[in-house]
Amino acid sequence: MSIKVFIDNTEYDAEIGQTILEVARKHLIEIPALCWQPQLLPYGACRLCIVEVKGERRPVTSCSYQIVKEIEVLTKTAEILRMRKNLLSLLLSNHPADCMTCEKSGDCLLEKYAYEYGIRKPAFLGERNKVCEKDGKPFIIRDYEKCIMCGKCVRVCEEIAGANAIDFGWRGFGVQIVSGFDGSLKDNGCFFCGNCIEVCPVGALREISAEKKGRTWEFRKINTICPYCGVGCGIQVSVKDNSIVKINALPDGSVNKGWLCVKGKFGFEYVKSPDRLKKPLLKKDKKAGKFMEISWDEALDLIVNRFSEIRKKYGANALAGLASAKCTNEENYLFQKFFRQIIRTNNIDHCARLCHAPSVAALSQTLGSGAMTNSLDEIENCSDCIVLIGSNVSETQPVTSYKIRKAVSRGAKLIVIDPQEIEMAKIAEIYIQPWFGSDVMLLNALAKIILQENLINKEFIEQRVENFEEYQNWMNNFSLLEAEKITGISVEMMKRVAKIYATSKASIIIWAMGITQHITGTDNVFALSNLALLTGQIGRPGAGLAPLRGQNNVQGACDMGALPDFFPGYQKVENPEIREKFKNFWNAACLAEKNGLTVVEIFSSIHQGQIKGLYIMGENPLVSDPDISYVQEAIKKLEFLVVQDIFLTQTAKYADLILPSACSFEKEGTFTNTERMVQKVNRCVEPPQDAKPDWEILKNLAKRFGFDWDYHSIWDITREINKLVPIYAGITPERLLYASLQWPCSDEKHSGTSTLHIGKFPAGKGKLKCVEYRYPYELPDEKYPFILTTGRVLTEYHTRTMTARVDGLDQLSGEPFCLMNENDLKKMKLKHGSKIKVISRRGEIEIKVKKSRSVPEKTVFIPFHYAEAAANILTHHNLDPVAKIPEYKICAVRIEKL
Amino acid sequence: MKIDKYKNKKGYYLELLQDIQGRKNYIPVSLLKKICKQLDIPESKIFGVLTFYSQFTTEKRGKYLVKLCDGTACHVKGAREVKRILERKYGLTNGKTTADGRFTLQEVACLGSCFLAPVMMINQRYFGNLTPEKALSIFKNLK
Ligand code: SF4
Ligand code: SF4
Ligand code: SF4
Ligand code: FES
Ligand code: FES
Repeated sequence: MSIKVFIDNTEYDAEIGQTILEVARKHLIEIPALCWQPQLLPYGACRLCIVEVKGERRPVTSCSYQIVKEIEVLTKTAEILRMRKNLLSLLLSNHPADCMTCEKSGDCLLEKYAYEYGIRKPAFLGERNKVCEKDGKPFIIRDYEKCIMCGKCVRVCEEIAGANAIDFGWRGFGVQIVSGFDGSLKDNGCFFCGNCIEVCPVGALREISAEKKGRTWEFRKINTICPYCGVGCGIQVSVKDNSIVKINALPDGSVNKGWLCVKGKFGFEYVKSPDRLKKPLLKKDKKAGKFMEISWDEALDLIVNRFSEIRKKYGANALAGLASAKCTNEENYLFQKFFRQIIRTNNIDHCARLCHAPSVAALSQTLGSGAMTNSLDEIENCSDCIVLIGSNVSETQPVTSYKIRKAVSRGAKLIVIDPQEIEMAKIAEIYIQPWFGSDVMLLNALAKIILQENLINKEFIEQRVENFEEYQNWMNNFSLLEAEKITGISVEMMKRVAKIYATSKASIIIWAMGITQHITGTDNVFALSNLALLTGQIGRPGAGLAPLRGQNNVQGACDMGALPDFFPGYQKVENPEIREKFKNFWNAACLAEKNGLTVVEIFSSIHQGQIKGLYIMGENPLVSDPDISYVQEAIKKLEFLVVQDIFLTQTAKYADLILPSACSFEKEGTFTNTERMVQKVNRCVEPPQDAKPDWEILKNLAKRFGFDWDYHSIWDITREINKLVPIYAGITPERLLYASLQWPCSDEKHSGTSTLHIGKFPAGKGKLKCVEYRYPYELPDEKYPFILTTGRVLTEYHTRTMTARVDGLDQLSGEPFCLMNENDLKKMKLKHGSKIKVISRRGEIEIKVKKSRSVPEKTVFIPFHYAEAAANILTHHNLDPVAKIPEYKICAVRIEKL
Repeated sequence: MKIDKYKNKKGYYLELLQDIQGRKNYIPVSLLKKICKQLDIPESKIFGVLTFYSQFTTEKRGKYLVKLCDGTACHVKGAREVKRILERKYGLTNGKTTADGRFTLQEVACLGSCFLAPVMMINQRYFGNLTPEKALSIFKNLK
């Protein structure tokens, strides 16, 4: 409801419950504020924001004064101005006030207000609180001499990051910000999200990397999108002399609402790494692995010759391509176009196969679309129950974890289901720890309870779900007691979970690799989708199914048809009408009619001698794919391997030809994040030497093949996508200048879609699936008594090609490690930090072991990032029969002491 | 130390710290860190509380905490001499604990009992009208 407010005698509209400051800021009325941060709870400590409200005896702090009735506010009376000046003067008396050498100058609120209130010298010259610098290495300077005790860092660390690494300490005049026992941030559980720097109004908290690199007015500032994960945080990049100095979060209008995580904030040093590939490289002799620099002309000619040769000799299907979830939509579009139009094969895939193929496969069958059904903002603001299953979100999508944290503090109920006691379990209403690989059993049990206790949504089922009877009959024989045995979760606990999920106003299920990376991955997702359909928890803001995507543009790479069975926009390859449409638009003589091969199939095909030539754009299968020795042997068998990347990856070392590409800070285009939001990527710096954006490389290559790919800029490609891909039709370059848009967006008037499936599913009616429980492929036995599960950690990314080249990240987690339960360590007489050998039926690695309480007993957790101790030497390559995803989450191993 | 009773209790930091100090006479940092781990308390939060209240100390304290007053009244009435003799005979130094772990000396400004000056407090007990001899005999009688 809106009410009238008079501010400085002008009338404005306000919502009930808004603060005076919010209304003022909205209408650009300047009120100084030091401790206020719009995304945090009001605090009211600095008192600088005082105003007069008619009827109140004393001035009030406008940042915390909520408007509940019509009021008159005066913001600039002589008395108020005098009081503010006094407050500032006091702050400055206890401040070094050395703006001329301060890194923050030009961007500091204290300096700004001192200027505005005309304070040349503090009025009170007394003793100053001497506080020295504290340890924030490797990323943060904590120069508390400049601290004005606004408390924002403490609040952001608690309310948003959830790290609680800092707090107020001491008292009175000696009060200061402390970490536990004055230790380093690193030893205090700091995540190095850098959000405390983002909010610090003065120069007390700063980036180590930006020290002495100049001050704000010297930097060129470019807005773009974080290159790391699927959240797609908006960032502002400060550039000086073609180098990135620092990165800040974009506040309003961005997905991340002003927050970042450690990789987005600090992980950019790789861009300037001396290891960057700068020239095309040709392998000189196969054995020695030596490369020599060649020109682009020579490189492109070589590809044309070798690919044509192979095609002539063995046919088009002897060639295959791996696209990249790191590259832009436009580049992935061109990549698949290159293979489909020019090479004429559908052998294109990318690493989405290794993460969310089951989600896509299952949801396209049950709902008609495989993407996340809701927006991240809906999780923060609308969901009343959040089921987090198989997703260690605070490590893998930190900014999403902030949103969940906010939802919980708003009152939403969080249910965490994970064999590992992950960080988010700490704030969960219910945390349950099912046995590895028992998900289908658990989810079926929840469904059974929902049926049995009549928690179903009848109306929804009648209108929007088919085969309910069949499903119900099938469920008749299901035994909850058996489920209890297999999952290790009591029926009573399952009942609690089912009840909260089914009866909350809006429930959402969030999952990631813990659900998909199983041979039952697709079944797991079917079982999740059943829950949503039975309870009608889908198709409303805050209610739905949310597979969290891993890489920055993995959603986009799928959307753009870097898949063996789909043209861009999930248009089926095997549908003749669709083929005709693309054939005509591309002016192609003909297009391959059969679905191509998936990633893992491509490698087995190479083994069998069917695929001879491979083009890899920005992927590193030699670390990321299961059963590495198998992949390695395959790659050695190839007649011709082209790798296009920014670094000489483990895979690139085996290439015959390496093409240097530009990283995402060096090019334009679009990324699509986990919530289907298409966002514009902008160029911040120039690529090193001869490195080129991937789209330019592909364009030049196509021309060399004699095709007229006349794209003058990346945006010509975007326009082509608009024409061919209905869900992207309205997402034009012109519109992206002003705002990001969520697909489906059918035309230029359409404002994008936040919530999918309101009122109707693309598949018509939602389908319930009867899914039988199956055991994992390989279970522990006497010889291999431990379960190995792989995963990711916060400070690393994928195969570390980028993060290993960021010094600070390398300091935090540069050495490979595994986690084991503390009790197992005790039993085996192992120490925290000792080296062990982990052995599976495929191979063995040596690795350091860390003590953990989150990992259950008889389990080893190994992050898959490290090439030196690659977890995927141990994993097996048996696949989910539908989605063809390997089971990274479970295999059997044995541990040996070293 | 039994800490289970603190599990799942909010806002118990102060109570916990008092408990530790009550038992140990001071707060051993390593012990507190261990408890933080077990109870999943962020160290920063407990340190914030710890430093806010002047009653807590992380300095190792002897069995006897000797608070010797050097406020104006006590000073005038000969607190210095008392201090000197304790220094000499028992090796007390302000803020330090003796090597045998028996005594910790803390000089304070005023114990609020100037009518008894010079005054000292040993753990919870007051001793007034001190002379060097009297102080020595009090110390001798401590176990
Ligand atoms: S970097 Fe993040 S986790 Fe670390 S102290 Fe700052 S806000 Fe807290
Ligand atoms: S360090 Fe910065 S954000 Fe934290 S209290 Fe001090 S001035 Fe505020
Ligand atoms: S959450 Fe993801 S997108 Fe956001 S800053 Fe971190 S890595 Fe980048
Ligand atoms: S901004 Fe309102 S009290 Fe600090
Ligand atoms: S001065 Fe010693 S008790 Fe007051």
